[in-house]
Amino acid sequence: MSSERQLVTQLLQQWSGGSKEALDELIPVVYEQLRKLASNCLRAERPDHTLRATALVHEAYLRLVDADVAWEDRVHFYAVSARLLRRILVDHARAHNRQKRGAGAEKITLDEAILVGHGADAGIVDLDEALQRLAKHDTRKSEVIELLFFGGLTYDETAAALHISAATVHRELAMAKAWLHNELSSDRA
Amino acid sequence: MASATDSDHWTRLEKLFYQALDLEPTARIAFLNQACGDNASLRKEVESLLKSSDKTFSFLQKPIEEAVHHLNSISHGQRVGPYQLTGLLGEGGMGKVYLATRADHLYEQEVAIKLMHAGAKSQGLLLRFTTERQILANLNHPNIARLLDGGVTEEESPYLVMEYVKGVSIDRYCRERSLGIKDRLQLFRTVCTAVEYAHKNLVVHRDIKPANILVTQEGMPKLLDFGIAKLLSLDPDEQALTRTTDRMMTPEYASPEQVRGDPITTSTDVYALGVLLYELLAGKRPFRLGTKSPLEVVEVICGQDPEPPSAVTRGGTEPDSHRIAKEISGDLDNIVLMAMRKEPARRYISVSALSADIQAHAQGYPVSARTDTWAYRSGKFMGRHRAAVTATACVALALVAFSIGMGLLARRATRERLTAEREAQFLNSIFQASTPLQARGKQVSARELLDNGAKRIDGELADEPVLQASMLENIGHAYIALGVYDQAESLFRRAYDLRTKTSGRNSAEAADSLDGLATTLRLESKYQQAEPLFRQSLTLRKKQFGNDNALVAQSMSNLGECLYWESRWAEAEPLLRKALATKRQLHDDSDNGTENFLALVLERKGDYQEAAQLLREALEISRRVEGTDGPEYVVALHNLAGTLIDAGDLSGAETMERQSLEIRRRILGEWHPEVYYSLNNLGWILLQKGEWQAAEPFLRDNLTLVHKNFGENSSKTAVALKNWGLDLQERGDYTKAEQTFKSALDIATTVAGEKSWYVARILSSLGQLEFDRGRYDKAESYAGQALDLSRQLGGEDSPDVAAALIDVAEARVFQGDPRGAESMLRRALEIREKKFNPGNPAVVYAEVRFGEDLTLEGKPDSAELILRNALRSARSQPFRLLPWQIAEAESALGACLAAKNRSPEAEKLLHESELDLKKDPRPAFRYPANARATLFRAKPVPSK
Repeated sequence: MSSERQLVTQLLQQWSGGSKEALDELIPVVYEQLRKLASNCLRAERPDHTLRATALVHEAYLRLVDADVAWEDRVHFYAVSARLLRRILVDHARAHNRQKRGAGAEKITLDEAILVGHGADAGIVDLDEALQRLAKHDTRKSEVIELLFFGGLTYDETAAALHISAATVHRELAMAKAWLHNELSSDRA
Repeated sequence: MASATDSDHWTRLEKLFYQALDLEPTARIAFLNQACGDNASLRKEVESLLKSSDKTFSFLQKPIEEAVHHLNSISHGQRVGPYQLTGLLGEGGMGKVYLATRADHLYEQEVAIKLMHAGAKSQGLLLRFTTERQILANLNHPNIARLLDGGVTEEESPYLVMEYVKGVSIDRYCRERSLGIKDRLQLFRTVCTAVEYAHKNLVVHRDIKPANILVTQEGMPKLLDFGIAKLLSLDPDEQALTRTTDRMMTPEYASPEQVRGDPITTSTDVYALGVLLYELLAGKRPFRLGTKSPLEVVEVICGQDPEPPSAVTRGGTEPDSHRIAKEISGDLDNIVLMAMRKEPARRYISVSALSADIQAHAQGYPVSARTDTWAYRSGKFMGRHRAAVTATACVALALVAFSIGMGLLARRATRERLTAEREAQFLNSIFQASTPLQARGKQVSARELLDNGAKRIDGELADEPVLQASMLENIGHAYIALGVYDQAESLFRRAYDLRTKTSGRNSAEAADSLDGLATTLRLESKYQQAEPLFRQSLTLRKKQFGNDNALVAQSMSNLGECLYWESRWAEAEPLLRKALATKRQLHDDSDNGTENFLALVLERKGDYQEAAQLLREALEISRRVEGTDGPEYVVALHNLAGTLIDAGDLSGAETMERQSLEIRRRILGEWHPEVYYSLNNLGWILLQKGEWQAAEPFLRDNLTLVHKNFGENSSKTAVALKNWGLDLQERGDYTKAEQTFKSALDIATTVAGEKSWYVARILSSLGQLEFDRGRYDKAESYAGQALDLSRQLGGEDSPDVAAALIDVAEARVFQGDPRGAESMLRRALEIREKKFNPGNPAVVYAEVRFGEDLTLEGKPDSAELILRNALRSARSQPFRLLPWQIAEAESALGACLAAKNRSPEAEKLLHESELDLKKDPRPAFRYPANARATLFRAKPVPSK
């Protein structure tokens, strides 16, 4: 068993036991692991492999936490990873947008331009900003989205992580989705 | 935080949403009617949420997955050539653009790398890469992001390395800073100067659009991707199959000729600049093509007239849109629409004409652009008064420099207007010939473009000698940039002939041609031929312009440089000083040649401090003017490496010289004649460090390069051979080394004369070779000849004299005459102490030799004093001295102490010296060291 794994497992348990300091210690380890995984994964994997955020979190979990850890601790790990991954992705995209040479450094052929049109999807930064606005109205809704989509938690796990019922998760999700959809489409107008 | 009302509102919204959601869709309307009452906005909000509630989650998943993919798509740390990718900047049809830094940390620099998809490679593309890259790399303008490098990765994907510009696109910049019309026009005109410059260098951008023009924090616009569109176009075979793949452009900014696949010329950029100006003024693009089919796009671009920008602005919702519309309507509308005309021939004839019209507008003069209908109606009038109508445009065009600096600038100002216009046309027609249609599917390289243009000058401009001469010079300068000196020479000769006929033997124009010809000859190392021409040109210019003139200063500087190469330093110095004074007075920063050559002259005299100071200034000037990758910068860098050599810091010099070599190879191409300077000096530095194995490939390349560029008989060939001989000598191959030195000596004597610095240097190398072989009498004779020559060339006190004195003295010592050597060594030490800082390795070396000599003469007490000082200096330099330099001081002091019977300390020193010597990689070094040891093992020569 690697010492890193021991440490992370221990920190998770301490955190579940109510230690805030444990979380502070945990965050950089998980962050680093996620970042490493995110930037290395494709080289190791098959070229046709589409990488999902949830797969990343899962991979980090496998690497960092003991298999026989309590279910609750696992949920906590996923929850903290979801937040960190969101931050990693947004920071990365922000950095690039800053560096990006204007709106489109890319050259596109005539055909491509017409195929792609102007209806490009909202990016991660837009989503992140929309989530922040959502959190101002209703923190829990934004957390539901984060856990489900960045962390890959199941509905039940999400419910457990937030100490709410699975039914509530579904209701929160319904409105969060609708609201975010409106936010992101009006952004584009 | 959300306010209380917000939070109430949210709670209400949430409640209504959940309630309605639980209802059947049909029942929702009635529910909302009742629940919202007359709160229409609340109702609208709930309805909109309900409408979105049946969406799939893909709009959430997609951005996340894309971000993960993005994070992943470059592996941090992946290397491309010497660069390390650090981030993704953009992605397009042909490949991706990455942010990168140099991986070897030679120097810190962020760059943008355009990496083609592996699938984009093809033989034709790879080939064109290397040829076209050079001319693009020569585009050297403050408003153009430089193409720094390019190559092919291990996976055979071509890549281009460009200056990385931190800035925002020009449209965003104008918007975010709310620039007024005046400022926008100012910015636009700056962009025009960059495009003009490129056109004069035979490069068309082909893809001007806001995204390709970034404005830095300081408000400096920079054009990206110059000529890249052409560089990246697929090869002709593939074009035949899919014509559209060649049209790398953005439809909104594409000209009619581009969408039709017609020849692309400078007019294409004029059109795109028109679209850009349209957008900067009106805040909108002239055509919106987003959802149109390719056929419709062609129809719009080729057939539909854009609304005048003022009309678009007038319809805007901005508070002051009416005022802005008023400002734009009239002249500016006309200017934009004239630039955007469908037929290339009816647009502005050049970018400078467009720019000049804007200037005229800004200053309240009439502009040449008129509404299209007016121009049509007045067609006849135009035909009759064409020169008058376009006069404003032409004066501006006449003011534009062609490809190189001040010289031409002044000349253009006096050029006849019509000639300038014809020149623009002819330039345009050269481009025409290079388009696939005209070249019958064959891609044309920069070199071919020039060859072709040069050929056509005679045929097509036979009746227009003024224009003919001007074009000959223009293309001549372009050849110089490419390093094709023989072609340049013949063009300048013909230009000069024409100038004497058209403008007269004593005209300013003739002086320009002469200057170009002389420069070419100088670059070909034909200094004796160049010198009288430089003098003639200087005399003519002085008569025309008086003394305090930039052109006159330039001429003086050129002559001074030529004299430097002829080893006539005393004559060169006052010329270069005068030129420098004038340039400083006129604030002329256009090049740093004067500083560079004055510094070199001063170095020959041993005025190292002033030389280093000048070179630092030269480096700073060029860094400011062209950044850290320009041709002038690299010259200063190379020369600064020379001052480090003088200061004895060989490792520091090596780092700088490697950098200069790397930049030169990158921006000029591997076998460009100028690469010689870096190859030669780097090889020499490595030899001095004892790393002959490392030096060998550079010196070998250097020989190939000089033969290729300068032939068998040139001073550069002699120097390259001499250094190759040094390498052979270090390897212990004395016979071949001697032959090589002698060939070098023959060449140097022939091309530079018996009394030249080159001959002196080769003689001293021969002497040192004989010394290594133990033939001290021959060594003394060669060193004696070198001493005589050095005295004649640089005076009694020059560093070369000191070096030669030491060589002669050493040969005497080894012939058993330390007494005869003493005064020479004393004199050499005096010179070096005067010229160098205390502790400089050259001083240490002289001290060691002098101390050894005193020991041998039986004066160990005087010797000890000097040698202790030498060892202290050798050990306490700010930079690390080479092992042998320290070893020599140790061994000399050891021998001195042994002579004084202070064995323990002596043995310790001799042991340390042995350890230090073992670190020296040269096998050949053992010989003189052994010889020296033998000498000291023998009894000191008894004093007579």
